[in-house]
Amino acid sequence: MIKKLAVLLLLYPLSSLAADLTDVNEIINRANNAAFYTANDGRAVTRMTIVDSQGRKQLRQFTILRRDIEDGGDQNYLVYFTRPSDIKKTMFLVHKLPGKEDDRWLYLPGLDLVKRIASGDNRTSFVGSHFFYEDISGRDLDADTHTLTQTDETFYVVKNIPKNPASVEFSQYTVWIDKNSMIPIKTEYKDEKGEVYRRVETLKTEIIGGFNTATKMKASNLRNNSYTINEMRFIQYNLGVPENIFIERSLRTPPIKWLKRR
Amino acid sequence: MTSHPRLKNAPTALQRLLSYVLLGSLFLATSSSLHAETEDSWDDEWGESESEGNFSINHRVETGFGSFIHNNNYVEEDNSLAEIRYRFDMANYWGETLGSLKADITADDVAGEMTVSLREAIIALPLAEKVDVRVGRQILTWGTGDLLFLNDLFPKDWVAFFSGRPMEYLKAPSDAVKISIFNTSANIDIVWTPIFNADEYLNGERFSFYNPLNGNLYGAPPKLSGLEPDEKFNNGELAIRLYQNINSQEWAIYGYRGFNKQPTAYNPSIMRPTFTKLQVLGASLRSPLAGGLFNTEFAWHYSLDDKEGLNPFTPNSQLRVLLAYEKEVISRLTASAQFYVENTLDYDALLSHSFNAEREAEEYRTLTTFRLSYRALQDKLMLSLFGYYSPSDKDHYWLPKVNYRLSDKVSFEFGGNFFGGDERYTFFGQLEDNSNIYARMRYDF
Repeated sequence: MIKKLAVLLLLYPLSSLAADLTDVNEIINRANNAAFYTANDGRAVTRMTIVDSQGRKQLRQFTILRRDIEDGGDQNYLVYFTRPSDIKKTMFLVHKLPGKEDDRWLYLPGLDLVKRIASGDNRTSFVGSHFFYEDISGRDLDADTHTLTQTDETFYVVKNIPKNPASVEFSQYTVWIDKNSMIPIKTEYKDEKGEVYRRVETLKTEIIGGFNTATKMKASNLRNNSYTINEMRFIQYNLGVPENIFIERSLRTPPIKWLKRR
Repeated sequence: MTSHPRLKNAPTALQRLLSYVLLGSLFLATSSSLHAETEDSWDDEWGESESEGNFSINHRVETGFGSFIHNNNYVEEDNSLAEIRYRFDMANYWGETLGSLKADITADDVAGEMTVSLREAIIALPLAEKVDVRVGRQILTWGTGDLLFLNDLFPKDWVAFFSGRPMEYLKAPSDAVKISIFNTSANIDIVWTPIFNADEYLNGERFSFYNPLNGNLYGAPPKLSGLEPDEKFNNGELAIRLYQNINSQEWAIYGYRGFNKQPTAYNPSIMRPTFTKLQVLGASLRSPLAGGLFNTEFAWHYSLDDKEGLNPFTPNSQLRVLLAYEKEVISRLTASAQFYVENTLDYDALLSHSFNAEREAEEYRTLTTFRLSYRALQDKLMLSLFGYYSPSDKDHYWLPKVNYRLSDKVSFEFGGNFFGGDERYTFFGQLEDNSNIYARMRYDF
């Protein structure tokens, strides 16, 4: 705890003093790395609380293992569902290949079936939540044109316009990136009429293992007031996760050694 | 299409469906308080045991009801499905060693019996850094087809599939040893099933089928019972798969030595259907293509008891080829199509020795399948339509399905199994009278 405080005290004033970034590409690259490429690998237990417009709740809990092959580049994910019981032991494997279609597999334990998922729309619900697949694994930086619209004391505000508007449901989105941590704190999506209809927020960040980490997020559908809260706990970085666990073997036989919290 | 003017059972079926839904709602109402309670408890505990891998147990109750839509004169029952099933599922890890047990207790009103069946009972552990072993009763699947099996010779439960039980019951368990060896050049799976595990095939009790011996449809009693191979070492089943993923392309080579999974042969001296020796060699490739997924698979089914196709009582060898493509065509709507050919080898020999040559399957039996699936309402509602259509046999089988997930604990499914064809002796045509609709409700706790 004391160590963490020391890190905070040391880093905070320094970064505040640092000159503002002006290159939008550098800003979004740093933000992308801070949000999706922390350390070389990591593990977290994630719980999603999905609340519909009538206040009814559903929950998803999974352990997520990540290993970066290259910062800002290729990356592997293993997602092991533990709750609710009807999807327990379902495993999801992703080989993220920015610039190409990701490779994804879903393992259905009841059938012992390794189902390859056709890489489709990345902007549809991830496991029934309000988070999109893209919110979890990151959006291709080259898919949008980015403009730095504002720099204030706390945030870099970046406006993003899709290069291929037909491929997405928004006409533009704006990201508020925290100048210290470079973590995106708020993202608002606008429709063709310019109305904000969707918001993704970082509700809580913590310093874990020396890394700024978003530990509580919320994705809201503003049209019907439904939302999902995503909380992460038991986060650990640089575990030394080996590359050879991101294969079909782990779908059928969960690599319990690496999934187990320590 | 053969005419089926009688829809005698239809009103009854609807009434029953309705009462089923009412019953379900009552059940839900009584369980909703319990439901709320358990939901709250989620907030406090992050299920340390779940991901720590220590002991876990889950329970499920599932009820299913289904009714024939035609008047089937060959089976006694009006219902294709009427059951309540309790499932429990226990697992424990000792280090990296997993012990898992799944069992079903089923009250089955169609069969008029109460059964306890083990679905899974395994010990799984790593033998070495790159070797896993899994021993015991287990579900096994491989191959790339969607509801088409070329190289997957693991047992299937067709009765469960046709009657609208949950899809996972299509796969029947094997009592087997599976050894997996992982390598950068090729991964190897070896599955040894010491005692032959047949499919859960149609026996005439719930569903009727075509009897080629007399050219009529067949229904129990008596139930059809194939004579299984003797329980000796040489009669075990051996299945092998070599596979690897290279730059997003998954290839595999398969081998199998055992028996036909269904009693498709007939032993005239004892007047019983039997299972003939079978050897299968095959391969598959699955790869992304133009924003979707392409897969192809082939298998050579070598009928070891009738290598030249001279015996009319045993099935001939076959070559089976599959081509398939799947794509998310619009957001949340996935479409797929498969094209499949079954080439019966030594076809001239088959015809010249057949008792009823004109009713034999075509030399090239072609089959196409289509699937449309759509997710809506935050993935709570799943609509899907799967269809088989055979251009060579002119028969079909449609499986529409609606699944609604009311909560994390309760879900419903409604669907149907609609068979039909020009003739009563083709693969799906013979099943026409078995067409049914079903409803199911699941409760997890």
